[in-house]
Amino acid sequence: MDFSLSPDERAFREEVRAFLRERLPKDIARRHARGYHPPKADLIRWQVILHEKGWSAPGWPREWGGPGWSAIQQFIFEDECALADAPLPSPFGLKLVGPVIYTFGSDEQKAKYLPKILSGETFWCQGFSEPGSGSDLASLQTRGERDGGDFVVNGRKIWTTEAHFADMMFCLARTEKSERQQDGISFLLIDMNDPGMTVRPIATIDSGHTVNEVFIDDVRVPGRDLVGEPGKGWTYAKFLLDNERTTNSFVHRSKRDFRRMMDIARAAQADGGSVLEDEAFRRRAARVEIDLKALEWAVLRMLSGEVPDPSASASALKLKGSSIQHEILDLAIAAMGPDIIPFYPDTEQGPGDNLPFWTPDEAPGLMAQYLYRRAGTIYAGTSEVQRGIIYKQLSRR
Amino acid sequence: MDLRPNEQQSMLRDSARRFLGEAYDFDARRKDIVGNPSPGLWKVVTDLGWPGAALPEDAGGLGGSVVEYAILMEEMGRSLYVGPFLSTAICAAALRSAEGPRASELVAQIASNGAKVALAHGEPGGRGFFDRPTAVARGDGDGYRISGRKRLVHDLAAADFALVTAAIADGVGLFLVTPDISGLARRDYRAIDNGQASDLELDGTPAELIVAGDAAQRALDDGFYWLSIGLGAEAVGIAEGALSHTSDYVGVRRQFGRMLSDFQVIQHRLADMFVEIEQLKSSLLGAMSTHGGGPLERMRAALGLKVLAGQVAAKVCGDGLHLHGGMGMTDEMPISHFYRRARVLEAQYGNSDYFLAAYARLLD
Ligand SMILES: Cc1cc2nc3c(=O)[nH]c(=O)nc-3n(C[C@H](O)[C@H](O)[C@H](O)COP(=O)(O)OP(=O)(O)OC[C@H]3O[C@@H](n4cnc5c(N)ncnc54)[C@H](O)[C@@H]3O)c2cc1C
Repeated sequence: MDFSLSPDERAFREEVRAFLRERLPKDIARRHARGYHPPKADLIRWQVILHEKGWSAPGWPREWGGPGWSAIQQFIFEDECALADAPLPSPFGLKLVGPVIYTFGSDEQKAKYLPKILSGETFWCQGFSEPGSGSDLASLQTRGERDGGDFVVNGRKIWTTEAHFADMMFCLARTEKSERQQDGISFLLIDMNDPGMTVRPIATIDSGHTVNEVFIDDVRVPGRDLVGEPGKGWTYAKFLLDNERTTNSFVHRSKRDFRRMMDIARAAQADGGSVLEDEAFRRRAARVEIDLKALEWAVLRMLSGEVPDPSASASALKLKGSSIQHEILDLAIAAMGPDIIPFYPDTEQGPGDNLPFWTPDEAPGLMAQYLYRRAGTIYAGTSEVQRGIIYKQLSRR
Repeated sequence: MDLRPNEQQSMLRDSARRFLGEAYDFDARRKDIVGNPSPGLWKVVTDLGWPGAALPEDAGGLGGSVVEYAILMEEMGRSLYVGPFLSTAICAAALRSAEGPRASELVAQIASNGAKVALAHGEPGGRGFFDRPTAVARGDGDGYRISGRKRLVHDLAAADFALVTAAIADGVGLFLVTPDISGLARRDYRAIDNGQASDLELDGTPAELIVAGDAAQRALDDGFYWLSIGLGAEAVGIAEGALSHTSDYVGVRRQFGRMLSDFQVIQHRLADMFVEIEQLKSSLLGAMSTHGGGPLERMRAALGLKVLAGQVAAKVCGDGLHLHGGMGMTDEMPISHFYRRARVLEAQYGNSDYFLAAYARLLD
């Protein structure tokens, strides 16, 4: 075992840091630090800058335009990005469908779609969940009828993040008759501009707009936009969901959130001292930091292949990661005190409601983010689903 | 000892539940909060005598006790009522404690005329109810003038008066201010639970002294007791409402070919929510029992209740939110509103950390 970063890895960290210092636009970082959802324009601008540097798809192999980084390099990169308040690039193209396409897609699909994911020209959304199929995804009802070489798709998707600004959707639809629910599903790539695609916003608890309902009416998907084999979509979806699960420890973001929480606690005055000087608060924060450090090593263990059962460990990461994320934000709002109560509209997104006269620096965005992050135990497999996966692995031992 | 509500109290509960369920159901509430809380609702609430339910008959109230008040607050919690009822009740308690002709007159206006009173006590950077006001009142002829800042004044937009706290020569004073008087800059905004609050900048604002010194401190302590009972009872209603919405939801939502409520993990989670609520209800009763007791005993109970109220409401509503899956995140589902109200309740007038520290100082 070697616990330290190699000289090369250390140099890499410095390089990333210098790049971020130079190239990450201040206004984007400032907006992102607030905790509101980044606007599409910010995502594009940042993606273009990363792309120029050849760093827009940290996880992709060289062959497909990635930087060919080791797992540790990717970790360092994401860590530095989070600490610098870079917005998290939209995951749907880069982390989810991209790897599916370069692993299972046709040459034509690779040539057509991968470069535009890298460059930020095409945004994707994930059309998996349906009103009746959430945790039980395999029960999905969206249908694709074969018509010559094409599929005519009908159905309804829900919770589709960023569908309102995505150009493409990767979609699961039932195309074949089958005994098992999991069989007969195909993985289709759908153009969001098709007139049969209707996107309706869903108003959420944080008063922001990220998720949508998508109605798919007689949308014709050419055969060339079927990924892999018909009826094998579940296999590709599982590959994708496994990738999604392993990237949901939220560790980098939580490290950043922890620092922000400490800043809030340092600035907030209570009883003649700062909140951070309050012993009870300090101990709670210390306890969370202990967990956060362990989480970081858990991610590194995973990346080094030092876990006997990656599937179970990935779920453990999601479970611990989502609860640590909540605990950090709990501390942040505890430190903020009554100032969490007002609704602070995202003023960068246009005029909103009246702002209070006195607004602590860190307050706007914090509560919106707090409310939105409640979804951390729901999306990418709920906590109960993760526990189910872990038990399944354990029972195989 | 008999901890059951008497017949009138049970009737009050039933009628409150029925009335709010009809006049203030979830859809009506959503329309209501888009603008200001509708004056129509307050009129009916006044006609029903609620603002005076726990105020003495000679002031025009119904002569009830803290029990009637808690019953109403609990039902309001269940219906997610946001409006000037709580702040008015806190002010009424402080005014009753203050005594004197002017205070009694105001209590009578609350009890019989439905006057709404907001409490302007917290200040920017403040942590909670026991912070000393830094706004300053200076004598000016017969009256006073106050300068300073007040933060998070709940329900000021709807209020007829504000009770403002300020430092004076012999400690703290409680003053009456008319919200739209000149010399008062004011910003109304909405809270994340869709309630309303305001910030105030007072700059030599004319004010009428109601009570000062030790008596004012006692009035504030009384106000805090009613605040805590009010929020404690509201938290019971909120948590029970969240549990009932969640049970309903998991009783109709199917996944994996079964009702969600068929899964034991879900059953156990609901059971845990129930256990938390039981604990909160008991704490509420305990705090109500100290009503006529000594100030220290009462203060401890009120502090404990506020801590439990915030934590239990947030925990139960958070569990409910999670059990709704994606639906819980939507503005359309009541549970997301229960959760937001619970979060505000936890932070209102000071959060759990603040009141737990205060409780710990009294531990012996
Ligand atoms: C903010 C957000 C963004 C999202 N983005 C996307 C997206 O871009 N694309 C997409 O396709 N989907 C997306 N989703 C959907 C997400 O994947 C689903 O919400 C999730 O899979 C849960 O499904 P559900 O909402 O139908 O909840 P349900 O499956 O109905 O679950 C409700 C509750 O029951 C529990 N439960 C379910 N089954 C069991 C069981 N067998 N045992 C015990 N407990 C159980 C769950 O854990 C949950 O607490 C998003 C969701 C959210 C909240």
